[in-house]
Amino acid sequence: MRGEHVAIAAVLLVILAGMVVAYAPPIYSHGFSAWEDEDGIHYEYSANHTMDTHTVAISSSTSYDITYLAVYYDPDGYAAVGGWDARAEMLDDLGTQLGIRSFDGYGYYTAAELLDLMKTADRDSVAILFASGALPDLLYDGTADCPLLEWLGSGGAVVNVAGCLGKYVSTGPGDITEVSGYAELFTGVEGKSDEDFNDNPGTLRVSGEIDNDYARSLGVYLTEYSYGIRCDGMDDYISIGGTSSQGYSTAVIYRSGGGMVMNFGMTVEYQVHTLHYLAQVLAAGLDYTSEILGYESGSTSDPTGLLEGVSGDDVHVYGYIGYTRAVFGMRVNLRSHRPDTGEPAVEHHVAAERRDRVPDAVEYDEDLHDVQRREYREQDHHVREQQGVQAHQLPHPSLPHAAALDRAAAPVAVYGPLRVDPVVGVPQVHDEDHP
Amino acid sequence: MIRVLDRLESFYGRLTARQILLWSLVIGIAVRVVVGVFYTYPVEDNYWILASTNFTAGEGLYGLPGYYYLPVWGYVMVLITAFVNALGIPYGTYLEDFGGAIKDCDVVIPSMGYSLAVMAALIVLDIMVGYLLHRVVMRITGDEKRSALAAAVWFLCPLTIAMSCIRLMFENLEIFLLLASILLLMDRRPVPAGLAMGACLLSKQFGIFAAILLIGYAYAQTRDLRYTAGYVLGTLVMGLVLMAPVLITGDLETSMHWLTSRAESGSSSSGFNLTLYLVPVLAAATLVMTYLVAKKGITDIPLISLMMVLPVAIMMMVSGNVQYYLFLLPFLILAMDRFTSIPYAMMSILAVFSLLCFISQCSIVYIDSGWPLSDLIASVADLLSPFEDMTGTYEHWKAYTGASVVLVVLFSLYRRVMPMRRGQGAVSG
Repeated sequence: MRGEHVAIAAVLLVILAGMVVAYAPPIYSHGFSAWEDEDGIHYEYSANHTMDTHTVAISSSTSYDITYLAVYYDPDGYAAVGGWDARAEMLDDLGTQLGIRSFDGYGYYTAAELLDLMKTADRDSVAILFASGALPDLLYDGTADCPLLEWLGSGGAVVNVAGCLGKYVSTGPGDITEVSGYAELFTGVEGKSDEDFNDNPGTLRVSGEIDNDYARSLGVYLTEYSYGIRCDGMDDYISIGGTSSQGYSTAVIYRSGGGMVMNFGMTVEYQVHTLHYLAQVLAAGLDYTSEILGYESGSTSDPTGLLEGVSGDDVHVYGYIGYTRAVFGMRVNLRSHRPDTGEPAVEHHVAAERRDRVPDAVEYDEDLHDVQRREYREQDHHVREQQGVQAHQLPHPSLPHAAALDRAAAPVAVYGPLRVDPVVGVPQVHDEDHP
Repeated sequence: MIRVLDRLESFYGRLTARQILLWSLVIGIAVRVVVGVFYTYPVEDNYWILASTNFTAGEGLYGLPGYYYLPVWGYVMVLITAFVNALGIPYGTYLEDFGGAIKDCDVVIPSMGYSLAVMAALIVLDIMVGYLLHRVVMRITGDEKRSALAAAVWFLCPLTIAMSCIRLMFENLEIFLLLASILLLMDRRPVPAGLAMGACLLSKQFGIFAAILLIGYAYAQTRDLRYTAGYVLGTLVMGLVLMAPVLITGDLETSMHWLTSRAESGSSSSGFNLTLYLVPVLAAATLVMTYLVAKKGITDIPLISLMMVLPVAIMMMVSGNVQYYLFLLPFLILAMDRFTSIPYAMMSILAVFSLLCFISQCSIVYIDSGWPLSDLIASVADLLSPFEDMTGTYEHWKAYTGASVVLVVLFSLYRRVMPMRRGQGAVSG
């Protein structure tokens, strides 16, 4: 064999080896755990390669602990502004980005299915995501007594992406009408102008540096305000992006009546450049009261660390590996889970098989695991494969989250104890007085 | 081309072939490292970082947007990523001042280590292309010095340097695999030649015309259908093997994004629309040439190289991105016609143009980024700022370069084919 033949064979073998590595089971594994004691919050990463780590301690004074996103997707029943195709791809990629960050509660729902869901879903842990630009008239008709506003009024959460929330109502496939007064409805601020909700189908970006704790610690630089909102008159909100010269904030989380709205002013067009930010914010568990209490960067080669002097009643830690596009992320609730016991907090570890959508990829400490395992369910979720959206084998997010447990034990339990509905597969509340 | 070779030959004076190779290698690598370290164009590098990130996150090549090409380069990138991760080299840092996106890509300032890792792979490929060129010319001419000069002309061409070390584009992988296919056919190894061609076609698609022409060449070599079928079979087998995981995971459409996105964008860009119309015409012309090669028993590689270049050059004349021109270069060198030195010179100027434009537009991302001598980079970028407005001239020059290739190739073909028709044999330079 001549030298040139050896060279050719070598290159071909390299290509074939790369193919095997690319499609073999994932060769990288990542994990994160956190706990606290009198010294502060300890954390530890595990990874079989060296990469930057970022650890963020976040406080919140609400009971929100969003672990499940119910995504509105109903191309057969309703229209979306600009069509559903690009949004289908966007939503699918968002699910993947969330999965990277250990946020596996993600499923698609038609308007009718959402209506059912809203009757029973747990307000603290389930959020409804709209990326359609137009809301279905089954849920929203521009009035305060529609199901969506009632969901918000009863403490539910809504995530709005790539659209002007409340401005457009779809009455069927291909039918979209416009309503007014939506800014006042969603913010609860009397007399708030609809002009405060930007609606620009082009791509508008703020210029200059985004300089706030959320952006710096989470590495999120949400610059598009095409659908941004002005926060004038709003009391409870946080702005995690930039603000345009006209006053539009690119990304805002605000209290909406008794509920919460997370508004991202991004467009569909630049989704590849922004979805990881969106996933990062959702996975980090921010709400409208969130504050960044501490932040540390490091490396998986030096995997342990301590956040000292972090105080607050309701603290969780979000750790991620990589840069602004994380290769792994995970949220660990600390005091929100066990506020008074002083026991070590729950430790989490995500195994490498997450990529294969193994439902039980999240392992808990043994004390809790036996209890929780009994409640764990799994189901194939109703997903519209024919629309190009891949089917997700969704884990059943049935673990009782701390906020609900706390409330159940508290003197004033708004919705009663949490129970799991094996049919719908999302955290539910059981209360006869439920709206 | 011969003129360039002659001048290089006189420049090198009494250097032996081995010395020419050695000095070309040393000078070429030195220039690449210096230029590449200072001025890596961040756009493509950003996408490679994105691909590496997605892969490290467990999403494979196509699980998330970021890698838009056919899989072969992605497979190489997977190994580069593994290397980078094993050494703990950071991918880059985010430049928040730009607020998230500029020029349709994230502004992640590539780390020196990451860029050098990709660059190293591309430099190795540059060297290997030079090596194969050397071996092919050696088989054609039997002249050691001329073979060495052919490799030197490739390795020292500004366009080659710019694409592997500034743009970090993988055109040289496609070229290597195509040259490998030609060389293996010359060695009468049809199945391995087909395997190389199968990999070539799944890196980028410019090799498709060459793949068809080589069917004619294989038949002309032996007049044996089984021999020819071996080449075709090898191509299909390798194609299927490399695409199988992509097909199984349902990522075919994503893997074709590079081609389809340009076709879609052609609706507003007259250039690519014209290309779409041209493709069937050029494919038909290639089939005719293939038939002639087979029927006339043409085994003259320089002549076949000209035929390979012609359809691609016509496409590039109307829609070529600067990196695509690199594909033409080795086959112009193989053609060994003195007139091909004209497009060679124009490509070199094109490369310099593109460098000036890229540096003037994008060197800002290196300022304050911790890259060595960032002040010097900034001052050079300032000096080059007038070139920021030269994009129009640059675009024109691209078209002129494509046109020069087409004209020269047509003329060279005429010079070679006419004597054959008169029964005088082909012109050899």
